[in-house]
Amino acid sequence: MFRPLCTLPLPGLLSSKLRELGFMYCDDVCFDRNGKPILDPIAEKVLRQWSDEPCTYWKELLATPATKNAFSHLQDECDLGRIETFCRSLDEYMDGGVPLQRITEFSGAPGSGKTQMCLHLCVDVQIPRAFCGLEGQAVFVDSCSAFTVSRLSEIAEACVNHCSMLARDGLNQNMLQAMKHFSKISILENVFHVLCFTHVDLMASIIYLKKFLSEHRQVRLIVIDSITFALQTIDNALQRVSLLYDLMENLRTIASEFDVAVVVTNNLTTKVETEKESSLIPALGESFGHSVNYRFLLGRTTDSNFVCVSGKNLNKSSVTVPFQITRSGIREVQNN
Amino acid sequence: MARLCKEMNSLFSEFVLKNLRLCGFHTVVDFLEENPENLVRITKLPYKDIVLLRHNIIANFSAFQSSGKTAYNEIVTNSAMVSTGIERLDALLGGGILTGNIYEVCGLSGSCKTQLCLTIAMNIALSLKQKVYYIDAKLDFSSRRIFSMLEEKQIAETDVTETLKRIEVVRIKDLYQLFSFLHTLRENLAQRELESSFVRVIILDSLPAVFFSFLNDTNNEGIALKSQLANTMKHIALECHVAFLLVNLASRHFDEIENLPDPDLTVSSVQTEVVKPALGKQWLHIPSTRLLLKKVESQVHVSIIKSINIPLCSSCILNIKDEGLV
Repeated sequence: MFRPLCTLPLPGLLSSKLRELGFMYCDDVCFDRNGKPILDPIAEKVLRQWSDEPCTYWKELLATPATKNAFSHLQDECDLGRIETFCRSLDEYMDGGVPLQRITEFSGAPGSGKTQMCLHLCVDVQIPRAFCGLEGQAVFVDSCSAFTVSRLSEIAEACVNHCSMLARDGLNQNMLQAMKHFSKISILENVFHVLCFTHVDLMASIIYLKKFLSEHRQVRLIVIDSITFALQTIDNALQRVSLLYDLMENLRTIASEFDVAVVVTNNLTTKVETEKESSLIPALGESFGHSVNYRFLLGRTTDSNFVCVSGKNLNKSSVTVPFQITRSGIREVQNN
Repeated sequence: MARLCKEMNSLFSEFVLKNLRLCGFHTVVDFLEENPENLVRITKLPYKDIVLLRHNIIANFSAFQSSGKTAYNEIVTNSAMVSTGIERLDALLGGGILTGNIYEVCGLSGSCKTQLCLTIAMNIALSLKQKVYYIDAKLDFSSRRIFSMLEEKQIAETDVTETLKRIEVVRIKDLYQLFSFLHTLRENLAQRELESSFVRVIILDSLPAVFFSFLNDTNNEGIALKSQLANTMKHIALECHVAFLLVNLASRHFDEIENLPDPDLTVSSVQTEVVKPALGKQWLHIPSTRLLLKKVESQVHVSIIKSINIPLCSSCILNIKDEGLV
């Protein structure tokens, strides 16, 4: 069977030029003679307008992704880094914390702790390796202006105090050494804040992130708070959906290429049921759940008690996990 | 190839090809569509040579008919019924997954589609000891889940390793990579027909993940590529005797169904929720069998919504357990 040229990611002008000259299939352009691939001379002339090395260019277009068996994947998955949340039941539920190279979604009503969770993760990702942390930096893409430096410094201070206490009690040389570089100021310095107002800003920042991450290899967390807010400026629903998927595709590539965790926050919307009461579900549609790997629904029960329900978790069944938000950030529920 | 070149026939000399291209005849279809007398005038070849060329091209490039009996014998000798390892699902499908077909599993988000695919992949690799290809378009493949499922079944460690090694995972980022992979796979399968570790089932999770970027297209590129993909998959399924298991999304719609007017002459309409597979009307025709999954607490309701040989609305209920779907 021949592979048509339209199934290659060719620039529009190149594909129309080749089509005019009668090239319909990949075999027309480049065929195997005695095991060696040879480009058709006319096609080569056209390709040379796009690239100085037509053979290499053509080979890159036809590149096939590599297969890896599940056993190697298992080893990779077990080695996957995780960002701890300081709440033991939550960490246990997430197999150690928010995973790297995956997209996690936190959705919830306003005031349910989403931004608090994001700020907390920005601090936790920076915990030094001596304390079994990732010692990474964080990028906070802010589209709803919920980022407050004072709250971040509160959480940072609590984390530093906690770590210094551990270092003092453990008398571990590595930990004491690490504490010299780990302070409230250093935590604040390692969080990069990007402000977005419209969907154009958001898309531009995500695309720029690729360049940014190749220069700042220490980044281990990208937070987008919130993804729904920036997309509300688009009127056309179809355009909104297609932009959302472009965004998610870019985020997926970034997550796996640069070994970062992507955390996205989402709002809730009403699901109209015919016979039952209307319920609240995460916004952006059913298909958004398709693009993220883990979904968590956050809710507030009392002043400082919150719960986290998993909407999509491949490895475990759905469970409700309670946690508290205190002055120091996310913590385990204290039973009085 | 479709483009005229001298490799096709020695009569296609440089002079002949140059004249043909100057007049706009590039491909075999152009050559066959044109009047032979006109071609004699353009190529300066004798008439009998043109007729010989035409016969040659038709022999090499056209499709041939065969009798139904031959087709039936071919299916009977070459296709295989692959058991999914889930008893109730096998009973629903009439024995299992039949090679040469495209199966689709659709459902709302969180309705255990990926769980089903992982369970089937594990069962085929474990019990049937066959290789399975798992094409992962949304980074959802979890080796840990398969490992924990095998642990729950209390399989020996060496067998666990062997089973995991039989599942080949490919991570694709976009549709073009999917095409590259499918074409390379077709070449490999055609060459390795006689080897012992052959492949019978290819799982693709999931299809909408690669097509959503074409949603807002004005030139309908997405529709053309969907047709190409369907064509490629059907060709591979039939030629290499494999079965494709695709994962598709479903979306909710509200349809108003008008009730019959009652005696007081008031017409009432009822809003019912309809769950439709994603990817549009064009894709509705492509798979030969379509299963709809619905998660209800810790069970999954599987129903057939499209099939050639299984009665519609037949369904089964699977339980979600630690060892997979049962």
